[in-house]
Amino acid sequence: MIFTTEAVLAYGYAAGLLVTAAGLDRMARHVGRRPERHRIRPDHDTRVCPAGRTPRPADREPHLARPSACVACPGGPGCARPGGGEIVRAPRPWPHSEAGRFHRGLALVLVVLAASLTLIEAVRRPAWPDLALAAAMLTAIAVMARWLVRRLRATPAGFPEPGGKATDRDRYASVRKSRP
Amino acid sequence: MLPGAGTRRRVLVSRRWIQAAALVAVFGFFVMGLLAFRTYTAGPPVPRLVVSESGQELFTGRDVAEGQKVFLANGLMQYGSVLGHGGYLGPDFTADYLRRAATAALRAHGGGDRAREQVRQEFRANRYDPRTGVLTYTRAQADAFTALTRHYRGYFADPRTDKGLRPNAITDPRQIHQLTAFLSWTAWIASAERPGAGYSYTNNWPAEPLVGNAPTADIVLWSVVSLVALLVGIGALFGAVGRWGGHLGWRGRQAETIDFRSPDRVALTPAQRVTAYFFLVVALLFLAQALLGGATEHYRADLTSFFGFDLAELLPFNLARTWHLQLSLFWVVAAFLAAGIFLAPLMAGHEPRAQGTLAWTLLAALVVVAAGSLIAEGLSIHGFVRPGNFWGSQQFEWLDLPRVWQILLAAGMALWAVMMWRALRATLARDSRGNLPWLFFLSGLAIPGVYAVGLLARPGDTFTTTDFWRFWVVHLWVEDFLELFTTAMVAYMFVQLGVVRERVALVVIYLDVILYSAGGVIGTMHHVYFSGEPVEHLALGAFFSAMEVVPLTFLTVEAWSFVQLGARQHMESRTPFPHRWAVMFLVAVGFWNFLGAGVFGFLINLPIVSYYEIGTGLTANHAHASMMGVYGMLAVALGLFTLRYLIPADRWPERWAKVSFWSLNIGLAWMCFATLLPLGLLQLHESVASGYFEARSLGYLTGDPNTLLEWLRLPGDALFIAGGVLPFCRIAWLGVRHRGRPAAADPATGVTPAPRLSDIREPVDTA
Ligand code: HEM
Ligand SMILES: [Fe+2]
Repeated sequence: MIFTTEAVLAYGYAAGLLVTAAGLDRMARHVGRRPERHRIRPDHDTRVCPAGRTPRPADREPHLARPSACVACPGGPGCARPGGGEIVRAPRPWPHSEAGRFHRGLALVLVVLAASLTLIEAVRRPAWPDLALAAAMLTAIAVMARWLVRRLRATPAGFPEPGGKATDRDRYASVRKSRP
Repeated sequence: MLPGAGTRRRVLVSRRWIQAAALVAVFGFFVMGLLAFRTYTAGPPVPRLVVSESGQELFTGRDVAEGQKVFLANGLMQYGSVLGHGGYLGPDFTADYLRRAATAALRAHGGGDRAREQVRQEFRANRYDPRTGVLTYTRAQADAFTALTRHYRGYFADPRTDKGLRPNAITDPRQIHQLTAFLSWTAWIASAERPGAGYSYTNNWPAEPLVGNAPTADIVLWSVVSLVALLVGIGALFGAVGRWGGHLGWRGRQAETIDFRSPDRVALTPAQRVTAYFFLVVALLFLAQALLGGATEHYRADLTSFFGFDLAELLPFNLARTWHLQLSLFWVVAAFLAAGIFLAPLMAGHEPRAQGTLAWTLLAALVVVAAGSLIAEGLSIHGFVRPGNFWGSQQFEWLDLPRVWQILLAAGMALWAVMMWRALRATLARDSRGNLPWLFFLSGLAIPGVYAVGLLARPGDTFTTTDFWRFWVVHLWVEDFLELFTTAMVAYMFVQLGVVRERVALVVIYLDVILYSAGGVIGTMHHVYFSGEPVEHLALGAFFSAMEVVPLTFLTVEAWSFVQLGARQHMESRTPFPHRWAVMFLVAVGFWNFLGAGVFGFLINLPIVSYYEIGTGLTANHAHASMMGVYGMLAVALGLFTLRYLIPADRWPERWAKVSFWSLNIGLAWMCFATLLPLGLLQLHESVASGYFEARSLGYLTGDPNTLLEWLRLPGDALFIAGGVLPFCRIAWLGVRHRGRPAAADPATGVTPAPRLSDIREPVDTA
């Protein structure tokens, strides 16, 4: 093999950290969602959609109502996706907003760690083909860090102050509705 | 006067919840009873006498028992391990004995393939005679015993400290003989085949090719089954959540709006005010624990010197680790007890006379037990106490505290249960046994109850049985009853704040009881796959502990919604929500429950993984991420919740709470991902590729990439302590400085009314 085992392990682990960081970002997004478009009527075991109907959920996606139910609905274009009625829409208020921030913060920590590991390994074994790996890794880390920092910035804590409304919302938490 | 039973409030949830929860718990403990029975009837025998082929007496069953006491008293279970259980710096002494004995035997037989086969057969043959109770060692085995007695004498009487042990740790030849007898017995059960089976008493653990130890068919089979069980379980759960999710979890409409009372308007009862001192103790113990963790870690990074100073003379590795583990339990438990004391009057509406005095008594008792047991352990490890001494020595890992202190701690928690009973008596009498006050009380009662079970593990009993009972405490506490009590307590906090309806909280608690108990009770057996238990422990343990992961996944999905809690109210309240950081710590609890307990726990849970992994770095990774991540963060959350009312609003250091939150979480994440996880993965690889003995050797641990990785955690640890623990200490100090606003007691009865934390405003229709 052209690379040393240690370099492959170190950079491989750093790459694993990046993947985990991306996973955390996904979790942050998940945290921010609110499957509340459809409300639950406690007396019957049914969901009520914004139009006041009770569509059955799609088989695969419990957050989506069956497409057939939404096609005929006057409110359909407003709340349905091609795959069916969108149950998830508004971002959740605090503490979900701040929980999202928490996840993105930790994701960023992992990226910093990946960078540290890469640099340490590059200094420890500054051999040529390995350094190419290190350079590739650092590029990936830089891209990822930029992306995550932007997302973190766009995820305010959103802690509600009385009187003032918690106006900030996590721009990356809301799931986009179907594009018309 | 207690009202008659006829006036009890009705149960708020469907009786089916109660029946299902009872059924699951009864089933789990019924099976646990059977497994306890099997532990005693199908465990490995301790021979009355071990002789060589020529009839020469080698050691007796008494020597084995005494040797176990010597092993424990010297804190060796916090240094290395036996049968995979214990510390991770020293060797696993079972694997160590087995390797050395088999190598000696191989040499005695002249080496080569024939000799190999002969050694294998000699070690696997079970020459124990149950009628006479006599075990016969072959000549090679007997010679190895003699040689190893010499070896361990040299090892433990070493005047140097470069292994992390104190100098001249054990010098008494009799004790060395007994200790070697104990280790020899563990190695015997690890290699001799069970009567009628093709594998050893320990399901062929440890992997040792010289004696023909390799994973059994059961290990592979039950690994596969439990993996499938997990996938099916998660699938089923998500299906159920999708279908009925609206009924579960913490979602729920609120019909009222709430004004949170400013902490300045909350007048506290005497016992509530004493909790300020509890949390100061909690914070100081936390600080001590983290610093000792630093010392423990330093041994792994640089074994021979502590920045030029020979620390091992005073604080050898095993003592640092003993204290580190004990304190982790103490400060978390103290926080739980304090939170209980704070919450009980809120639930009851008032506090009975003299509850404050009892709280002081409890705190004093806790401090005495903590200090006394830590000192006793120090004396024992430094050799001042006779092994097995009632007052001074026990030292099973996690149940380190000597017996008398163990009894006192159980008694202290029982005193706390009495306090809960006093505070809640009238409420309990008025309420259905299926409602929140009873659940709170009963799950609280279970904490001393389960802890007391640990008293069944005595230093001189057969290791297999002591380990069985030990994990009732270690596992059932953290993976079942503490989770339940936590849910009940957190639910109650939010019911008190008015953001969750009691009915909604109840459903979540019942769901928790069912989900946690379904996997968590029998799942205890995932710790004793290889402790000498029969194979059903392994099978059931693997299957049910996989089920434990299911609620953890669920809770991460739901934990967020659990604080969603009338988020609307936060916006509409005219007063700010006072518990921003307590809630954020709860969010962290949910996160670490998922990552630390669920992911990192399952990573090492399959029998086939555990076979190579037990007692190595990935266990440390899981233990830190789950103990600190779940219970540590939770204790801090409880602390912040309570301290909020003990510190005047204008003095509340919101900034420090924030700094502490981020530092603790970043520090912990760094610790896991920079060091513990990669170290554990490398060590697991070494264990599979080179052998378990090799992976646990000091040479490997202090070898090249390891040392670097150990140092890499330093920034995270520094942040954890300086940015996380110290601010928490500061907040706790403020709590003691101010101690809240006292409420006036009724002069006639001595009863103090309890405060309300929020005011419900006019109902609004949100349907
Ligand atoms: C909050 C929950 C949990 C906490 C606090 C916790 C804590 C711990 C601790 C401290 C240990 C080390 C015990 C020792 O030193 O002997 C341990 C071991 C272990 N845990 Fe957990 N745990 C939790 C949940 C889980 C879960 C959900 C699983 C898997 C389904 C799991 C699987 C294991 C296994 C297999 C071991 C044994 C490893 C060994 O002995 O080497 N744990 N746990
Ligand atoms: Fe466990």
